[in-house]
Amino acid sequence: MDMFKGIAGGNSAPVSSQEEKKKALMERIAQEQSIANARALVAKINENCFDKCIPKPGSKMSSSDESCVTKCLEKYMTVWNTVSSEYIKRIQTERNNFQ
Amino acid sequence: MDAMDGFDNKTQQELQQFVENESSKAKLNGIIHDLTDRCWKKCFAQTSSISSGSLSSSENTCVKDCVGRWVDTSYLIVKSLEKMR
Repeated sequence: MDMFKGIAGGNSAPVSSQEEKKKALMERIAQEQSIANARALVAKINENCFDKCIPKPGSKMSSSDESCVTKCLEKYMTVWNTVSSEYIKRIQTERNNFQ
Repeated sequence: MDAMDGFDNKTQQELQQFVENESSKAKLNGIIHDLTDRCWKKCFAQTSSISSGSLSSSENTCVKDCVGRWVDTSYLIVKSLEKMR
């Protein structure tokens, strides 16, 4: 795991205490996670909005294609947020019923 | 793990716990990505072009119902399999 070495080993900024090293490592992991999550979302938006907005690819992107893609992007993110909150709500309800 | 060198036991445990929490968050995010994709395809199959960036109330209902019935389906399958044993 090379990504950890720069932090724990210290070839970047010198980190003094163990506590600081720990914090830096945690921040790095959380950051990597959010980057991976954003990448996955962008890939899905690309796929689904391309399918939706460009059914027959022409010689260039028309302004209506562009407007469709922009709106689709916004809509997909809204759907993502709705799915996320709805799924988490449901899972929590199930967990409470189970206990 | 080399990265753990120089950390005392307590810190190693804390880090391990942190990584476990982060990986369950990653797993949950993966489920939400899949489910969003699936429900998008279900709810917008008939829409030929996107005319608004926000959700209409019927679209919002469709997405929420899609999530609910997905969870119902997975529970039903588990229950049915248990009966078959």
